[in-house]
Amino acid sequence: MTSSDRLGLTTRAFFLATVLGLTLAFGDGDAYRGLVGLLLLAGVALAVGRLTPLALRWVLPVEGLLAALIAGAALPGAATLLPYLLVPPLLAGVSSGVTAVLLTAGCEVAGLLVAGLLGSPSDAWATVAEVATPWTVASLGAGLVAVWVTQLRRDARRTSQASYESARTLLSQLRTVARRLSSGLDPVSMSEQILVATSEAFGDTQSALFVRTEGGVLSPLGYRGHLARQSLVVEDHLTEACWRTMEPALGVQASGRSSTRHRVVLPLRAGARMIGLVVAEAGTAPAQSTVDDVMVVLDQHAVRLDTALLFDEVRSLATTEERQRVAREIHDGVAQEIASLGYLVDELTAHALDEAQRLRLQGLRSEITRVVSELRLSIFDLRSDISPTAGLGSALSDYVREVGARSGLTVHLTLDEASTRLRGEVETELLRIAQEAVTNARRHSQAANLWVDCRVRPPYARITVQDDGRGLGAARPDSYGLRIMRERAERINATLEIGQRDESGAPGTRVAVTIGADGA
Amino acid sequence: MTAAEPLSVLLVDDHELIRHGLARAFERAHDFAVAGEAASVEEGKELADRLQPDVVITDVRLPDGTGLDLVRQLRADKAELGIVVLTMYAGDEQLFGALEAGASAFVSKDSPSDDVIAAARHASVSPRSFAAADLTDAMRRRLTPTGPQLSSREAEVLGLLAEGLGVAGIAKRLFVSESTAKTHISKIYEKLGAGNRAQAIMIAIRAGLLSDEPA
Repeated sequence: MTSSDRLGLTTRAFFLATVLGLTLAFGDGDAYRGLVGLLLLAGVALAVGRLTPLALRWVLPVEGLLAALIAGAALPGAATLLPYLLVPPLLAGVSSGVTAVLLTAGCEVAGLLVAGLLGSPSDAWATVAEVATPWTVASLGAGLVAVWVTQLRRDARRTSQASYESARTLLSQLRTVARRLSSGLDPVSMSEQILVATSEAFGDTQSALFVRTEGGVLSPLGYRGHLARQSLVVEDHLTEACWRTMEPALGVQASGRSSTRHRVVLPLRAGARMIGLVVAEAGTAPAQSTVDDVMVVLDQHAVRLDTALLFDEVRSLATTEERQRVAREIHDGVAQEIASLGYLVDELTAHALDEAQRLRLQGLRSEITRVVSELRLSIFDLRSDISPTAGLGSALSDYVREVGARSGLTVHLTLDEASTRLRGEVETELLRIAQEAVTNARRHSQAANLWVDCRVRPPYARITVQDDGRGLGAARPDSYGLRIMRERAERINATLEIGQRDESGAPGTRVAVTIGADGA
Repeated sequence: MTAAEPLSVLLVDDHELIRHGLARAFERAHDFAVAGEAASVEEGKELADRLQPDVVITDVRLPDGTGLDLVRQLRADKAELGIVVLTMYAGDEQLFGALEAGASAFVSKDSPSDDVIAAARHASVSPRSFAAADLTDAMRRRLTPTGPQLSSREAEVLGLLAEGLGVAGIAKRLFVSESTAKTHISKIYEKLGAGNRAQAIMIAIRAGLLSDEPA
């Protein structure tokens, strides 16, 4: 039973009960006959309405006409059947619209005219009209109210749907953009555009752009000007004021012996949210009108930048999820099966017929052990991640020390991390590239030593992984591992160099990944 | 010679082939008898209570929870039960997780079945100690301080500071400008959380960044 069926049934039942009560109290013989007629009518209307839902808009006017004929026939003696006339317009209002209500009410008027006025003696016409008119008007009103209420409910439903629809539109646009130009949604180049725009407006010599990362920390996305990295830090009262008010903050920066510098901190707003800041320094105080002009440009760019950052984050989350899934799959599937094969070989070895067979089986067993160890390390790789509190350096050092030790490599690790953090997505990609480089060294190089050097000066970072193994000679340049590293580097706009450990010809491989420009 | 009563083993792993392989291995070792097999934490707990085995071998990833939960539950009321954690997962975290849960031994699934049996033997003899193949390395890794990490240049500067050289001396020795030397020094102070040279040197010695003997 659909909700409109249920509504039809309860409405009719309610009004029939009303009419029955009134008729029992005040009705005469005509009214009782009419009551039976209405009962039959209601039953037939319900049945027809259920059988052929498409005919609903014809059922109600016909029901109205017949109900009016039945109720009108009892006039002027008994007016107790008239309340039923509210039913057809009400239901028409809920299921169809204004036209259906008018049509149904019109049919009722026609029915009343035919049965009431023509069936009664002419001296009673005034009484008939007096009794019937209020009910006719009431039924029309009920119908129109029903139309209005139904419309309101429909609107409410549409509003809750609207947010999904706009999200869907945005996402499909993003997909199109991301497919067409992978650099179109690159936060770093967007940050450069913003800094260029501010520089042109203020004629500033240095500027910096910071974005808010997950932990609420401001992470630099770009610097412009050779002193920007040292002088443009974010811990000052201007930054704080700008962050609090979401408005530009201007001030004078007394920087020691050199001449007075004017500092501007501009908010990057996306809607009602702060996504970051632009800090700029200029020789002269900028005019308010210039600041206003720049803010118009910045507000536009900020939304784009926010979209790009969000897109990066979403992509990173999706990848992490997928890695966990793949790890589970390997763990529960192929790894266990090969491990159980190992136990089988152990059993065969125990029952070997002669020494030669036993040795062959032992060889097989050590191969299986090697494969399972590889799978365990792959699962470990897939599951390892950067903790939001510890940062790239500590994740990298944990990984390198553990994996290095497991594969008998002597690890030499140098970490040089600034107190500011890179964006989470960038940290993750850098860790993955380093993991891949370490894995390559471990698997193919037969090296004894592994040197890992990590230097982080956001937005600059450089990780170098070197080994003293047999070098790249054996590895195909199109190997899967190298391709993965290249793809990852491209994704964050980093440069990847793969080559000999040093120019003098000492064996070994060197993989270096660099992001941003070194400023210190 | 009549053999002593064999030790009863309960195998908990959701992979049937693994259980089968281990069961055959325990049958070959004559001092063990497989009392039962379970494929989940709940089943493992129930069988351990019912069969009262001498040793429980459990996987870590189980369909209804982690094997370490099972270890904790079993250890809570069976102080003398031998418990061996057998896992496909690599990583020191896993090893220390097993140790902290109260396991008697930790074996990875790439090890031959003889290693599992050896671990089970160890677990039955001294259930309240802990044995694992790479325990020493893991301990060493855990104990190595993950304190301040200096760049090679900064380490060099720190060495010169410890020698007693001033800013000018360091700049001269390293062929850099005084301001560069100053930057390195302030960076070192920042990383070590030191306010002055004496403090920096003390912290560096304690963190193992400098050897005690004069360079």
